[in-house]
Amino acid sequence: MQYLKNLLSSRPTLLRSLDIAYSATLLPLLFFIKLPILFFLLLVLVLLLIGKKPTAVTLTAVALAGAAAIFFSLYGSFNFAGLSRLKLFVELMIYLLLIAIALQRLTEEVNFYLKISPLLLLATTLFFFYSLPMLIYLLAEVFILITMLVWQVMQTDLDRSLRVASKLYIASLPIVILFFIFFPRISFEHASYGFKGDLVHRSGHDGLMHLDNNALLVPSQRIVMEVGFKEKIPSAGQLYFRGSVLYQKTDRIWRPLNASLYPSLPDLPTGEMTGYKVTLYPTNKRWIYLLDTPLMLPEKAQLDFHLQSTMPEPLKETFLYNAGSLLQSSYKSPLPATLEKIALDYDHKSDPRTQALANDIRSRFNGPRQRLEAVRSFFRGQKLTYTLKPKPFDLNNSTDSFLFDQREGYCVHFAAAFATLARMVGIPSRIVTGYRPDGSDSLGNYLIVRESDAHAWVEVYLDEKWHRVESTAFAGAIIGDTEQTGGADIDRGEKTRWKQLNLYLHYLRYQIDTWILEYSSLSQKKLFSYLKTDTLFLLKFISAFLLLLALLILALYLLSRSKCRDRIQCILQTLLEALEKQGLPKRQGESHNRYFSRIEQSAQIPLSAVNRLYHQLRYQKTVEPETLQRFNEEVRSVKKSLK
Amino acid sequence: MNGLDARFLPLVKAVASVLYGKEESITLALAAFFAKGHLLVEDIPGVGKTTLAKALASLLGLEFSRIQFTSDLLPSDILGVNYFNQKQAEFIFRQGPIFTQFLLADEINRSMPKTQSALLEAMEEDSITVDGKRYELQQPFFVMGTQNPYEEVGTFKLPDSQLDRFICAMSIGYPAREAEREILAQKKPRTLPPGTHITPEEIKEIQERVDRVHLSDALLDYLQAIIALSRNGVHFTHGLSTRGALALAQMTRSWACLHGRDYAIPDDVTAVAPYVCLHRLHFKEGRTILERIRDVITSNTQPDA
Repeated sequence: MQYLKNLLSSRPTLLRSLDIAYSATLLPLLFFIKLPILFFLLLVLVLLLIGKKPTAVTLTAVALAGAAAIFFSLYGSFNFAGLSRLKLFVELMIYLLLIAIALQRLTEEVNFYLKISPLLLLATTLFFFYSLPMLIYLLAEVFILITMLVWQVMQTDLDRSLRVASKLYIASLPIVILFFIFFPRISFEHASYGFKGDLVHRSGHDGLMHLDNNALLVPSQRIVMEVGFKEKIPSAGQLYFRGSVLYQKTDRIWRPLNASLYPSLPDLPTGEMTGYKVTLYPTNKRWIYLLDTPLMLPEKAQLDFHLQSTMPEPLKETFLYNAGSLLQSSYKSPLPATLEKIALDYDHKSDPRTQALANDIRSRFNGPRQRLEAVRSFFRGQKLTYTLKPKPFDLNNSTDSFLFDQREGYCVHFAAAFATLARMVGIPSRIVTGYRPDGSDSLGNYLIVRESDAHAWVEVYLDEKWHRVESTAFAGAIIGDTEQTGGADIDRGEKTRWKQLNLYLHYLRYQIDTWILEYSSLSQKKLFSYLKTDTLFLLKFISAFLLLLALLILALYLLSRSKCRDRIQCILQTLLEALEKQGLPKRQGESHNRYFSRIEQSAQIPLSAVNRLYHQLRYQKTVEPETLQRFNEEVRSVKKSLK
Repeated sequence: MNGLDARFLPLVKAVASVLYGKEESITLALAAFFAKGHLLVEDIPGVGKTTLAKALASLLGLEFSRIQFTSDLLPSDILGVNYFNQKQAEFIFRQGPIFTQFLLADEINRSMPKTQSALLEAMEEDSITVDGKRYELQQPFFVMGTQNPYEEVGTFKLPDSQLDRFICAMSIGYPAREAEREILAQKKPRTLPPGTHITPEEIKEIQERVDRVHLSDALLDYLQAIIALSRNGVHFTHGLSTRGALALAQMTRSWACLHGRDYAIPDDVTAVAPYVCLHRLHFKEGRTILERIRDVITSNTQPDA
C-alpha cells in the first residue's frame, strides 16, 4: 500500500506515463492478437526489464523477430486478395504498429510517434469488440489516457490531475454523444468504405430444412428481430413466427414448393387481430416472419397460398414493419389434388421400419383422426429425447434412425419424422419453419427473437383445415440447454423478484447492445426516421439530451467547486470573492493582512475586525470558541455593506 | 495589526531621531536583539552604522564597545591576554574589548580568518577560552558586525558557515532625500533624547516573551514552504541550513512580539525572511565565469588562422 502511495505521490516520467497508457490500451488487444505476436511482446518486455540500452544489432534482431511473428500469425490467411477484407487488414496494421512501438520504446527516445501510438491502439481496439464489458473498459481507458496526459502537461499532483481529467471528460461527453449519433463507427458487420467486409447475415432460418450437419440449428444468441406488440405479449403457445413451408424432401433436405404454383390465397379467417411491430435485421433472404395466422402484411410483402410471406427483394437492410395476425393454430383451406399428392408423398425406398409401422397403423385404424391419434401415441411411447447434440443418424434412413435407433434429436428431427410418418399413414402434412420464442426474453410488450429461437413444426390437413402439431412436444426427456421444446409442459413458474431484476438488466443490456454497441449507419437511419415521424419521440430525445447536458453541467460545477476542508478558509473565501466582484482583487503574493489593510485604506471598507479575527483564528495558540461565530458574522456584515 | 506595539514605538522613534528615516532598519535591529541573535550590517562606511550602534546601545542601556578590524588584528586583541605580573609572580588575564554587552565589530572581513573565528566562536558560545581557561561573557551580549561589500582587495571573505551565526543581515542604505536634507541642515542633535531606555529586567522579560510567541500549524506550513523553496535547487545554489531555519522562526517570533502579538502571522515571516536569507542564500548563476571566459576567447579569436 505504501509502495502504491509512493508510486502515485510523485509524478511519473513521460516514459513511465506512456508505459501506463500502453498497458491500458494493450490489455484488450491481448485477447485478440495471435500467439506469435504475444511471444514477440513478451520478448520486448523482457528486453525492457533488463534495461540495457539496445545496440543496433539487438534492434535489428527485434525487428526480424517481429517480422517472423507477423508471418506466423497470418500464415495461411495472408494473400493480397485477403487484404481487401477489413478485419485482416486491420489485424496486420495492429501488428505493424506494435512492432514499431516496440522498437521505438526500446530506444527510450520519446517522440511524437510514441506519444500518439496509444491512441492508435485504442482506435484499432474499436474494430474488434462489441461487448458491454469492453464498452465500460473503453470508457475507463479513455479516462486513464486523459489523466496521464493532464498529469504530464500540468506538472501537478495526482489529485488535481484527476479533477482536471474528470472535468475534461465530462465536458467532452455531449460532443462525444453528438459525434456518436452522427458518425456511426465502422464495424465489420456493416463494413463499407471500399472494403468488401465480412458481411454476416442473421440466419437462424434459411428457408430450407437440412437433416444433415447443416441442420437448422444455430445456438447463437444473436438477435433476429425485435417485436413490439400493441397489447400484451401472447402466451408462449401462440408465439409461432411463420417462415417457410416445406413440402418436398430431396437429398436430405426439405424444400418449399415453387411459390408460383399456387398463386391464389386461401380464404383467411376473420377474428380479433393482434397487432405488432417488427424490426427485422438483415437476413439476405426474402422471408419475413409473421405470427400464425397472418392477416395484415407490410407493404410490398406477399402472402402465398401456404401462408408464407416474402418480400420482392432479399433483405439487405434492417426492415421495420407493422403486421397483424389471428392467433389461431388451424385454418380452413382447400387442398387441391395436386398439392394433396405432394403432401402425401414420401420416399418408398427408405425407412422400411417406419413404413412397416405405418402399414400397421393403417390396418388397425380407419379414419384419419384415429390414425393421427395412433401416430401421436406412438411418438409418446417411443421415449424420444430432446437434445441439441444428437448422435449421428443414418442419413439414408433418417426417420428409422431417429425413431428406432438413436431416439434423440431436436426440432428438425422431430418434425421430419412426424411429417413422414403422418404421410405414410395417409394424412397430408407439411413442415413449417420459423421462429418460436419462449417469451421469456421479453419486457412489457417487447419481445426479443434470437437465432436460437429458430424452430420447425408440423401441420397436418384434417377436415379441410390445416392443424399445427408441435412435434417436439413428444419429447419424453430433455438434455442440456434447450429453448425449443415448445409446447411441452414447460412450467415457466412465477417471475420472482430476482428473475424480474435479471430481465430488466437483460433489457437494459439489450438496449445498450442495440443502440450503442451495434449502433451503425442502419441504426442511425432508423433513429432519424423515428425522429422525423414521431414528434413525441423527438421531444423526448431532445429533452433527454438537455437533461443529460444539465446533469453534466451540474457535475462540472460540483467538481470545480473547491472542497471546503477548512471552515475558516471557506468563510474567508466568500468575502474574497465578494471583494473581487467589487473590483478589488487580491494581488499576487499579497498576504491577507496586507490585502485587508490596503483595501481598508483605499476603499474605506471596515475590514480590520475581520482581519484581526481571521489571524487570531488561524495563528493564535488558544482561540475562544465564539471567535469563529464572530468572524462569520463580521464577514457577513462586511459582505452586506458591500451590496 | 500592522503597527508597532505602543511599547516599542517610542523606542524606535527615539533612535530614528538620530538616524533619520530608517525606522525599518531600527526595528529589524531591535528584533535581532530581542531574538538573542547577532546582526550583520553590510554597507559602505558613513551611512550611520556607528550612529545606529551607539543609539541602540544607549537605548538598551548596554555597555558599548567597538573593535575596528584590521588585517593585523590578532585574536588576543579581541579576547584579551594573560600577562605575567612580576610583582605577584602570576599570570593575570586582561580582558579584551569583547567583554562588553554591545559590541560593534567594524569591517570584520578585513581581519584574518583566525581573528574572525575568535569573534564568531564567542558569538556562538557566549563565552571565550584563553589558554585553556573559560571566561563567561556578560549577558545580554549583542554583536553588530559590519562588512564592507564593495572592497575586494585586502579582505578575507567570511565563509557561509560563519555568516550563518548572524541571525540576520541588512544594509542601512542612503537616507531618503528629505532625511538627508535635515541631516545637512543639522537641525536636529545627533544624540539620543534623554529618558528613553529600557531596563535589564524589561529586556529579559521581552526576550522571554519572544520565546513564547505561538507559531500555529498554518504558520509552520508557510515557514516550511519558504525553507523548502530555498532548498529546491531552482533558484539558489544551496538552501537554508537548520540553523538558518531556526533563525527565521526566531526572527518571526521577535517581529510578532514587537508588533504586540503573542502569535505570528505570515506577514511577520515575509517581513523578516529576506533579511534572514540575505547572507545565507546565493542565487544560481546561469553560467560560471570560466564558461564565460572560454566563450569570450573562442568567439573573439581564431586559433587556426
